[in-house]
Amino acid sequence: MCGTPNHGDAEECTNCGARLKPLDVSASSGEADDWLERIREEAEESPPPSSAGGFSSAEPDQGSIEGADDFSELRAADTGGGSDSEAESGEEDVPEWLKRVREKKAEEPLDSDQPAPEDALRAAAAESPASDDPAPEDALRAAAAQAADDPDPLESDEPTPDDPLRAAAADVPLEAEQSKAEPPEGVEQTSEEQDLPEPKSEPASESGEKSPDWLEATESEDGVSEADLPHVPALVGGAEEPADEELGDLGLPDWLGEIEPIEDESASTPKEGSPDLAPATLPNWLEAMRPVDTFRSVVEIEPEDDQAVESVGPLAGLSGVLLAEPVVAMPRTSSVGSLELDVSERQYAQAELLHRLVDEEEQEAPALPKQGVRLAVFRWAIAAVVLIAVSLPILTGAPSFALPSLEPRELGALFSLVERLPLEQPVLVVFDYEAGYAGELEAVSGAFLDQMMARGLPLASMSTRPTGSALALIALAPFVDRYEYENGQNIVNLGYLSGGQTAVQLFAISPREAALVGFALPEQVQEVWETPILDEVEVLSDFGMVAVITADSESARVWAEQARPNMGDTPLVVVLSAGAEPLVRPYFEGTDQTIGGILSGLPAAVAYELRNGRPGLAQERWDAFGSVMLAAELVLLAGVGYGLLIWWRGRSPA
Amino acid sequence: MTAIDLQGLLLLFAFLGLMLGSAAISRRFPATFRQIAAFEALGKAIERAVEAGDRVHLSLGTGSVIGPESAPAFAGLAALTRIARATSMSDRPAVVTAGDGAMAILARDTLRSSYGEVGAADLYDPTSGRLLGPTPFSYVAGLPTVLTNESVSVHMLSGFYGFEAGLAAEFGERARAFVIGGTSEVQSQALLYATTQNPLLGEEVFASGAYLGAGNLHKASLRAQDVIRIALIILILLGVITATFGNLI
Amino acid sequence: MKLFRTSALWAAVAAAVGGFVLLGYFVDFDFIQNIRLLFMRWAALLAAAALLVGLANLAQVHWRKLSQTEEGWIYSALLILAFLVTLVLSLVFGPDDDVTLFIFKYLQFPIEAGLMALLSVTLLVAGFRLVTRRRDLFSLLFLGTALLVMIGTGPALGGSEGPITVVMRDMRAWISQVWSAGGARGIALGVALGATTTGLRVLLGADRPYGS
Repeated sequence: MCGTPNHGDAEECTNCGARLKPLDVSASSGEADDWLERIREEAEESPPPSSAGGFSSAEPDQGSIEGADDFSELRAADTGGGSDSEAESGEEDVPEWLKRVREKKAEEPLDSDQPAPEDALRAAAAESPASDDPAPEDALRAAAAQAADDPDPLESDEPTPDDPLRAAAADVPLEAEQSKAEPPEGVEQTSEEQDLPEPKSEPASESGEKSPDWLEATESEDGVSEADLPHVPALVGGAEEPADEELGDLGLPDWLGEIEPIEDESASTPKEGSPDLAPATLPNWLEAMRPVDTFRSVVEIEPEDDQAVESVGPLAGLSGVLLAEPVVAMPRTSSVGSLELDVSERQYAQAELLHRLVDEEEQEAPALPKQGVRLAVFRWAIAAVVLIAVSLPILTGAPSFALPSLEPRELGALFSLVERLPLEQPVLVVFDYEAGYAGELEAVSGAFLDQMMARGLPLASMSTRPTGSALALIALAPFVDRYEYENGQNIVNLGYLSGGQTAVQLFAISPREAALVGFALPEQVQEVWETPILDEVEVLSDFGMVAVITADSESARVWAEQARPNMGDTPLVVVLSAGAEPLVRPYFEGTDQTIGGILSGLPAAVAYELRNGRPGLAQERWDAFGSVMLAAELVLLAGVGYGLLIWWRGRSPA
Repeated sequence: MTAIDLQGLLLLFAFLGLMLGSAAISRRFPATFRQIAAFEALGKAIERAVEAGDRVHLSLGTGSVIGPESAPAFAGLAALTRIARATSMSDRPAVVTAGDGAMAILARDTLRSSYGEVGAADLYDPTSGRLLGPTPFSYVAGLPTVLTNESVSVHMLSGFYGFEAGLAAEFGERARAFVIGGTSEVQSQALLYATTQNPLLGEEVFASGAYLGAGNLHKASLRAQDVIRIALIILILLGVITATFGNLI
Repeated sequence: MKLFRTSALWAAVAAAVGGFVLLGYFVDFDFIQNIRLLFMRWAALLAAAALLVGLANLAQVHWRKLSQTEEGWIYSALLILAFLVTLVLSLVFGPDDDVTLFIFKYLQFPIEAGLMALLSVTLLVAGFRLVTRRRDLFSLLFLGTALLVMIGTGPALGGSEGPITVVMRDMRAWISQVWSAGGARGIALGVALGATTTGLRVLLGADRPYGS
């Protein structure tokens, strides 16, 4: 958790004391309890050693103090001599590493006055309180190396910083250097390493705490050479390099010997002989593992007390757990792709729209002008003008307008065409307009119908609109009475053809199949196609002429384009409202002349009536037509003038 | 009559090919069209209507579903899919009226499928798509009732109209609704120009699907129309030149 | 298990029917022409049937308004009454009987004529407000053209032989038959293009006005 490398077989971290291997409390739990119990008993029997000095770092201080206490107790217990029987009984339960330690210790004469490694550390710390390059790890290693000779088992299960060191020292030979501990090449000495707390200068005994024996022994002695202490090269800078032979004796891995603490120039050289706790430096391989885009420039190792205990996951219960969130949530720059923004046209348009929407939010929209009574009055006024203009000529006969003397060019051709029609062939008249247009179209078509019926031409009417058949009856009624046409004999109504353009096509291909039922037939007529007018009509070309009366240019075009090809030599004539003329005239004036005759507008109808020599609806409405046209022109002119006046007043300065 | 009208078939396949080809390359070469102020104003008006809890009314005209009169109404139905989705969160869903029975049925079907696609099937009401009258003027006579009693604030005309288009637009203006009108009939376009603030002139009514985002093929259709139009212009000019100077030669 | 998605099936039907009818315009084979005519007859029948469905829907809408006494329910009641009376009379006497024609001649005909008159007033009002509402060159051009055509169409106070009348009449013919016809023709071409692509989208199934 703290990042300190430990031996593979180590069960606890040498730095922070964290357990590296899970406790096995299964079968051997009983056996473990036995030897632990034994250790506790031994510890209780032996007096606690006095503490001497402190350590250079808080963490190792506490752990070392605790470990020192344990060591002192162990030493005391060991010094006091455990019974052979106890040793024999616990022989089987003693771990391998402990056996090795004991063996080594047994080889060396035990000197009670010999200070414990922890005491030596404290003494060294006390001698060099101002050292800027503490190397607690080196001291710890030295102490651990020393303590590795102590065969006494630990009293408690709590890991101590010295335990893994002891294990490492017991198992792995270590080559150490005797040169002053320096941080490894390339390893930077962090500020935390520099800021590691100074070793406690006051002995623990002075603070009232019971200090281990080995610590006291360390304090009482002066000039304990570092060479005497087992020294483990520290992973951080400033640590003294231990002697190779010492490290080898301790059994530490080779790579520990290769680590050289970084030499800090600002740090004062420690006094000779005093353990120098150099600040921790990161080795090259560890430095290379540092994340590039870390948001933390310094990795702080919080004191153990301040470290949060992990509560979830597999690391629950452990402290000093690295937080995963910063690493996971660490912003990273994308290593692939272009930094240029790929914006499509649609996105540009949307961005533009968003800009406009945002800008429009700040703009005040003008309030809608109130259109209350004012507009209604105006509308009523216009309506009154129109009504007066229409009714004045009818009621008073004034104003009066001269009838047109000039007639349209196409009028003569149409008139002649109707005059040449054979009397044996019926004429098909299509009433393709709505009731609203009847006012104009009845006046326009009146003279045309008058001419045909005056000649006695048989007529068949039809419509592609639901109300067309009724309108046909209304339009033909005056002429039926005038010229005594008999329904079913020389005039017949084919009725309504459903389907619009489709109906026209079907009728053009096969009239008898398209129009099955007539309209307003006399009672004696059962079948419309059996009337004398239509009994010889099989196809559309059997009609003498087809005349379409419509206000819709589309209807005229449909007949010209869909039905004309099936008409052969039968002419097609259209009677139009004035507004539909521009779109239909090309069919009349074109080179292939799809439409044989055209009659459009009231002026043309008046001229037709004059040619006929019989006045009709067109002439009756001519004065009213002129009057309302004049009124409309004046209204429009007034509107243009009013609009320009408003515009001019708006532009002129107030 | 020839057995096969090659010219017509060629033109038809040219249309199809241009439409499908434009749709295929639309991602790489996206289409950009000129701004039509009427459609932009329509989008904002619909948003305001939704926020205010008002209704959007679409009029499909008085034309039959059979024949060329149906084309602008079909364009209106394409716009209706987008309008229905946009107004699905409104308190008052859109209402569609038509002057033809078959067109009213199509409007109902379009509404139902559009609401179903956005998961608002419960909004569908069979009376939302209705026939107001079988004749053009009877249809127009029924419009004021819809506009005033159903709180319509957006009045969109997209279909075939005769001279009654002027009345239809004027009723919308009287109801102080946002009026936008388009039709295929040239005479009626002149009336809409005079009576409404947002007329759709020419074939702009057929561009409603593309401008309202009804689908990729709508934009591709506009592109195809542009290409064919340019070709027709060139042919017309060639014909004029040939007819004018051919006689002189 | 459904073998086809319903929407795909209807799209296929629409595409097939439309394809046959369209092909019939370009290919003069009997088989295709017969199928085309058959589909067109069906279309004419369905259009009439759709009119009945539309009328039923109209009655349903107004009946709901009447039953729930929504705003304007009185007019809905009048509509339903007129609808029923006309329907009954037409069924009893026939659509071409004098009784039925009486309703058309003296009710529907004047109402529609009155609406047409209302249209003329509306257009005049709109023309008056056009320059006030939309102060641009096109509005002035629009009104100027309208004035010229009206002056050239209507009778003049000075008689139809006067020089001004002759000039105005010729100008009206020139505007109407050259500029207006040309512009209208161009718009009609564009409308035809738009209608073609709209129809092709329906055939391709991209637009489904019949719903999915």
